Amino acid sequence: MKEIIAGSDNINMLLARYGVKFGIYKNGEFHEQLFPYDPIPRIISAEDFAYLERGLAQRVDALNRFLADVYGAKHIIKDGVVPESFVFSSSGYLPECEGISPPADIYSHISGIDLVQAKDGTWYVLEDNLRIPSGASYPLIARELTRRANPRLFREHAIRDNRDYAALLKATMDNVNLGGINVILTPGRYNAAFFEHSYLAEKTGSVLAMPNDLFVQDCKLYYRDDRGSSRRVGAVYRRLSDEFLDPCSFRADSLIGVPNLMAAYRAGNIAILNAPGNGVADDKGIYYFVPKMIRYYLNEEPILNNAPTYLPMYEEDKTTVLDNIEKLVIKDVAEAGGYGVVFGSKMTPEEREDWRKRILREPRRFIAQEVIDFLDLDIMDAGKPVPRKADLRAFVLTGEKTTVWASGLTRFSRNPDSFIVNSSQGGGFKDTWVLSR
Amino acid sequence: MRKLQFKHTKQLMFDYPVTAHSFCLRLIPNGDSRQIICDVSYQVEPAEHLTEVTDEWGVTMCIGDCYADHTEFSYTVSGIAWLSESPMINEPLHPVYRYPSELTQPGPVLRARYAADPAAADALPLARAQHWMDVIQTHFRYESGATNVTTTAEQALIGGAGVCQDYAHILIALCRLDGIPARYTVGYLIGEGETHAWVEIFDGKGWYGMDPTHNRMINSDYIKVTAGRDYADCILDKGYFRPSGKGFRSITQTQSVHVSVHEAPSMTDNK
Repeated sequence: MKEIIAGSDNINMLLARYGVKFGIYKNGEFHEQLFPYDPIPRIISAEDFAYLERGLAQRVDALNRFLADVYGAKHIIKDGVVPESFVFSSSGYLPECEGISPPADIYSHISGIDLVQAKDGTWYVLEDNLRIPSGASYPLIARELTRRANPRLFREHAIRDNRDYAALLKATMDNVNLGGINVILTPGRYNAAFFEHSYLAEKTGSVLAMPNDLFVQDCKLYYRDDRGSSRRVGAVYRRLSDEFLDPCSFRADSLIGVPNLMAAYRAGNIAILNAPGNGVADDKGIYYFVPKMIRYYLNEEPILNNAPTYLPMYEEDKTTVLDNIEKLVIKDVAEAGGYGVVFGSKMTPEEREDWRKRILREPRRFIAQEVIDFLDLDIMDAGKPVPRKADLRAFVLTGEKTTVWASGLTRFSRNPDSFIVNSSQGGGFKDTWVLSR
Repeated sequence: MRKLQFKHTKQLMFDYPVTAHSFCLRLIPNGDSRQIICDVSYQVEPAEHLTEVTDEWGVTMCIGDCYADHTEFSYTVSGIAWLSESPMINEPLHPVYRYPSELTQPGPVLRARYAADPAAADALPLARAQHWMDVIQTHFRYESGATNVTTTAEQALIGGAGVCQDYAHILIALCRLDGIPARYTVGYLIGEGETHAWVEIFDGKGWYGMDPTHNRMINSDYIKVTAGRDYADCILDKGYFRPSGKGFRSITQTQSVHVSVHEAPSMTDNK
């Protein structure tokens, strides 16, 4: 461990040289910043990981069933398990996706499930990310560099190799590929995760494409290379959000996107990973219903816990929220990336009153969660270990079956008082080691 | 049933040649229990790789592209519509029409209007929708140029004036606030010369066309092309192109639209 800590400056330097960066928007301006790496890994025991694996696969399978149901028969709504209003007034619900059956009925191929561990060791799921979850490349490249510097460490200890991510991702794309090459579609170099897009394209042998490199003809998607020759695309792992995907279908004012991609998708000629319209299932309000979905679709008890959550749209929960606001964290269901999250404990009495009014005015817009007593992880700060809040983004890939990658992105908050670990809020990351025994 | 002949032409002119022009057109009116559509033909100029796909609501989308440089783009669709006198369309409700959409999201002014003029407590959905049309007539007037395609129902009502699109958005917002599912409808109206927008409301059994601009239920003068949550779902033609050659420059486009609807000679008329 000493060697790893001693080598961390080197690794941060190498990460900087390779361009491992993360872009954030601050005051309307784009800043590219390094995503600080902390050398002390999060270590997950084989037993804990086996538990997480079962729970995460169960959760993602139920979420995929839910998406197929929402854009198809809508049984879960008709049976009153999920309220209609939550589905159809969600900004993530896209009527354009009604009636489309994606290849193999998979909607969320690459899911990023955010978990935290409490002091008593219990794991809680905080958020499901089923649209374009990013971050898998960070532990991959950090591991690659650490391994290069300390090859013996990984030979002598029972740490599961995480280099299979590329193979898993490739198999996930191949599983739904409808004939043609695999493409990773990036919005371009000003995107926060551009480094990751190019890294994953290289590692999976996919073609990295910008929207202008792709075009639709006769309801089929093609890639045009530098020399002007075209190749049919069978699967596109797009890292572009739904509203910018196709200016002929979604935002007509969008200046990026692939015109008529949705027509090709509807015609059954292209697999899109992840499917458009997934936002309806990772909405912070829908989160409340995931345990119910697991029981409904799979007839199983949920293995993983949700953080205790209250929905102010239900009268009983509304009273609980209004009476206990100082103990809760309030989340705006429409926001992502750590934006729109406020802690009741940090509000002044006036602010609390204000929030009560906002919740009464728009009960559907907010959820409230109990604050979990996080198990802190040590990070190195000026040469000394100090405890900080951290979460874990587990990557769950659904191909022929659903597999949990034996690693993950551990993010921590650099600020000792902060609970928010999102990289867009200036946090750092650690590698995640899963032990093989 | 009444037999009408329709023809819809749109021409786009660019002030500089464009290329890599992709488009998606929803031109062909769909048949339903109120209208039967036949003898449809359409032309798109210039077009390469023209294909048809059916969208989520069963409407035919004509997609295609044009890579040759061009300064003009046009389409024409014509056909025959047989129309019933009843405004009712026998179609199930999709729940999305109960909830606000981006352009029909009510704000404080719409909510205040809704609260200030309540519909009679025992009124049925059709009578309530008629009541909301009356309210709109009192508080909104027709004026072209006062709004644009991005104006929301709330903004239009604050401005107090607008066109058929704004009338429809405001009626949809009021109906949805009142618990009546409502959808935005685009089509042709005899004597209008352009496309027209109105509203369909769901009364529990079927859909009824209401035209808030003219404050009336629709009749056999109306041919429906498509429906959706609001204007944004019902754009009949969407296109995406870039200037010819290298480098960026902005392109100014002008357009002309012509819609004609008139009585078609009917063989049954002779009997």
